[in-house]
Amino acid sequence: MKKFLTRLFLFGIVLFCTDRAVGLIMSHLEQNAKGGVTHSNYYILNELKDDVLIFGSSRCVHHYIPEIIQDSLKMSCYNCGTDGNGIIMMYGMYKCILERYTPKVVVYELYANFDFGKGDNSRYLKILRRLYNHPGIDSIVWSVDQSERYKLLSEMYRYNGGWMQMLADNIKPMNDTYNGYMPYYGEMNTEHSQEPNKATEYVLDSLKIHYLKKLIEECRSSGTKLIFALSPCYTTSAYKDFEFAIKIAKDYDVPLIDYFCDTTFTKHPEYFYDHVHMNDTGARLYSSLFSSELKKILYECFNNNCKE
Amino acid sequence: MLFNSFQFIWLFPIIFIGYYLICSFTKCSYSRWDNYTLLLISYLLYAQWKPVFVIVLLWVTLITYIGGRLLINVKYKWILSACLCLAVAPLIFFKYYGFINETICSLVGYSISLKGLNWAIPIGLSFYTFQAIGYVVDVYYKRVEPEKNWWDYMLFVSFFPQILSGPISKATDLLPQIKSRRVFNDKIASEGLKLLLWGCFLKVVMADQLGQYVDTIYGAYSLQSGATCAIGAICYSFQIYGDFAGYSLMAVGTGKIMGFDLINNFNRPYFAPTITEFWKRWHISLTQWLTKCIYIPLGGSRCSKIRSYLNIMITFLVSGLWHGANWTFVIWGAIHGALQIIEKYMGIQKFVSSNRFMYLLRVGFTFSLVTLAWVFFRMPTLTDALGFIRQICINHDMSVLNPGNSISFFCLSSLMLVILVELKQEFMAGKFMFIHSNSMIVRWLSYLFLTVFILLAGIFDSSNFIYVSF
Repeated sequence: MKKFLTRLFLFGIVLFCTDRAVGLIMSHLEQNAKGGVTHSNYYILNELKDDVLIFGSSRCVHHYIPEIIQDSLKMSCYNCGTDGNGIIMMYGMYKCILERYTPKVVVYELYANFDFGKGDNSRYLKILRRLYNHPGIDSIVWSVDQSERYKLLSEMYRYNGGWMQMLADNIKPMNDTYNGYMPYYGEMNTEHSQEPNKATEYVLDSLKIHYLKKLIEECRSSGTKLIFALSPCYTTSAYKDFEFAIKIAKDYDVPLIDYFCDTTFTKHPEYFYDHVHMNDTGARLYSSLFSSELKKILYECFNNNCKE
Repeated sequence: MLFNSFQFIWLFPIIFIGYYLICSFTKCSYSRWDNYTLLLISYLLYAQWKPVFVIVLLWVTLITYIGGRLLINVKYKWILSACLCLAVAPLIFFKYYGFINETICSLVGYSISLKGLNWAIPIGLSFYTFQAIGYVVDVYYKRVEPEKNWWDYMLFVSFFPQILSGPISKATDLLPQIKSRRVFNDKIASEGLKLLLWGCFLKVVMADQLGQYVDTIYGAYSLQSGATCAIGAICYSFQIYGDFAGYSLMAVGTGKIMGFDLINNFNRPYFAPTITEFWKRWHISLTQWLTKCIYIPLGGSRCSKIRSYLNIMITFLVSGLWHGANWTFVIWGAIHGALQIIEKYMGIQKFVSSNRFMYLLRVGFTFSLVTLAWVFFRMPTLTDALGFIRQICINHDMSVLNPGNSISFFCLSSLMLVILVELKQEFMAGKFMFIHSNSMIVRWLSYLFLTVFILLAGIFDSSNFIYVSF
């Protein structure tokens, strides 16, 4: 057994050295990405200085065009949305940004699944793991999974699932963004795709709700004006999933810009890429409508000397 | 304790060291402290799911133990029947009660339906119940001597590496190993670690990465193109293989480290040229159990052709129902049963061709049939399963859903690696040995490559193994 344990120990040492070496390479790739999501995330966390930030999931990434919004508001704007992510990741991102400066306005595009519906929250840790050393991030990571404090001793684990993207963004970035906005081109095919007929029943996730409330409180205390938004969907069957979002916006007095069931967009395939994402044409129209709505809210707010 | 959980990483080394320390301290003692230790560990690990589940485990163990004892020197069918009924009662109660109730209600037309108990199924119930039943059937047919030692028998039913998801061990294989004195073997333990590593790769990298893509497609199949659905179906075939074969390899590996030799559950099933052969390579322990406890008692093939076909169909229907209390599983079992009957009727399963091209064609055809049947296995309802197949057949849109560059890369690279390794094992045994190479450098580089791949591309959300829910 002595021989067996010795070999196991030696393998552990080799693995430890490899782990550190891979960690250094990954860190270099992250900091020197030429474009793509890696560069975008690095920019948001380390260089961003814009007034209006838009947070949310893929619906945020593909629906909000910062150029249109900043032309309308005369304030600089950046789309910080991240595919497949929600409040847990976004709250962490806001905390990191607050370390450097306080944005004037944060627009949060809500999505039931990612922001208050129950599910496996560890999926939202992918980017947060890389930010583990930033103040306040460790407690978010631990609140999702206590064992992460031990797992994150490994550098390779920190970059789990993301290294391929980082490598690609260093060699030839495939998805270039326009201030964080990523357009979808092409119209949805309605010929074969049927509308999802099952209304999803959401069980509320207490952890996500906790961070949603924390974001509201943090914005209030730091002086960022928070606005919730619901961008259009091809069909309206999922609207009832957002009852909780509407309630929380009302309870905490957060303005909500709701275009989810707007008939300008619904059942208009020319504005959609698929059932939940708009194409570039839809995003342009929505961004201009949204920015004028946002302008009104901000005008009222600043005229009333809003404290938030 | 799941093999892909963080708990396994820190707890298993403690179990390993503690177990072998006790083994070495008590090797001169007449009492089997090593077995008592394993038994305690097995029960504690099982109880951590829900302590109340232990009652069910004890019930199945006690009933089958008593049944075995009562069958010493006698062959009363009523004892066997009573024992089987009592042992299988928890399985019926927890797993099938809701299904039976709903079916009866829909047949009779009453709308009163009591809530099912599927939510409360003790984990691993199907596996350890079948293992315990297998023992009683073996005792009845005098294939094994009734076990006298209650503690050894308890360990046989509850042994922790296999209780959650098999393999379903035979009493003739496992009980003698429990009774014998085990000493640490350097080579066997190393072999166990290799199996653990490869099993972990199959599950955490291949199956779980594919699972992300498969879930997206199956979750909204009506929105996907026919080509995407077809690729999703193929991906699910590999996902379920990686998931279950990965679990089995990790169970066998853990067993080897603890000094046990558990049955190998998989033998490259997708290289089978016929469905009959597929079942000799897929979930081998269940196939052996079904043959021993269902097919042979029904008369096997030593009866008329029609009766033999009926026996095959009944066996596969039981196999389908064992997997889950749902008509989709029954249909899945019926498809496999019907395909085997067709093969038997046409004599296809006996046809051997030396032509490599012909062989590959048959492998491809069998894989397509198996993949089609998996759609029923995966879908929650028959309507969904038929809708999915309909989408493949009528939607000729050839666009394929891109799951993202990283997921595509991880899925394809892990899949290619597994296919290459299995091709080598199937056709070039003894060549290109990586983790089994004689060269220490090649071996260690292979271990390191797999570990780094797992850490960088694995999914560590402790997702359940598909078969654990059965």
